[in-house]
Amino acid sequence: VAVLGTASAQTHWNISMMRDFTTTAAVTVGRDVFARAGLSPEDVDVFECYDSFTITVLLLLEDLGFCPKGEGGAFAASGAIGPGGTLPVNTVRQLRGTAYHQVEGAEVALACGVGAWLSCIGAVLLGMVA
Amino acid sequence: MEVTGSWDDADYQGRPVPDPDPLSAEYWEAAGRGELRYQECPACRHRQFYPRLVCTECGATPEWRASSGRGTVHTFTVVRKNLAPPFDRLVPYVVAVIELEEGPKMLGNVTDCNPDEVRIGMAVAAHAVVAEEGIAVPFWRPEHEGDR
Repeated sequence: VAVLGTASAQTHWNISMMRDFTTTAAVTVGRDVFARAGLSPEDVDVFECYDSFTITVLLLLEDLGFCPKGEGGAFAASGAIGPGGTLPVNTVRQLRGTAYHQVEGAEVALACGVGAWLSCIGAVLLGMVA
Repeated sequence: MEVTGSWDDADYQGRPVPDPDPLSAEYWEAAGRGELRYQECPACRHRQFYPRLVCTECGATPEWRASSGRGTVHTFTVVRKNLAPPFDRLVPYVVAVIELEEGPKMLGNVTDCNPDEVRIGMAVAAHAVVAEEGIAVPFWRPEHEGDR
């Protein structure tokens, strides 16, 4: 498995300093990580993310570009992030083909971590080496 | 900012006491005197909270300013479950981000009201509760017409 791209960004520290409570540094991170890898959200087969709270996952789905802003809830409810969906989330260890819940044909994964109070976000795009 | 009580009162008993550092001591001690403080940059006029050594916009050394103690609820949540004393016996309580009249935002509890009546945009006023001698913690309560 190869690292295709990485990115990180920080927007604030204490959450009271967050300028917009529903927009995170993942906007910058998503733009940068996909640009560095020459890929786009449509190329991602599986998404592995920090899921500290319900809203964390929804904000990441929106800000990283997997669905339009404000539509994370509907996107999740549609089944897209479940097994068999267009973007299975947190099914873990996919790219080596050894997962318990293996996603068929998974070749590109995006892993994303969030620190502090939605303050600092880092992502790495991983891909299968042929 | 009115000083309304102390950590000896039932609603505040057992809460952690602030642990001031050289920078934040001025904030806590001002609160002890009934003054709510934030920082303003003398160079670029940026206003900020929490207290820092430098202006987050331009790097100059910020100065202390006194707030009117009035603000609005920017956003909030109602905590209905907390297993850690003393907060376990204080639920449900409101944790809010308050936007000061002067601009900076602060985290705090909205007290003296039914948590279900708190709304975004609601006018609130700060009140100080004494944690130990010379140190108080600001809390917020709804500001009603005629309070000013």
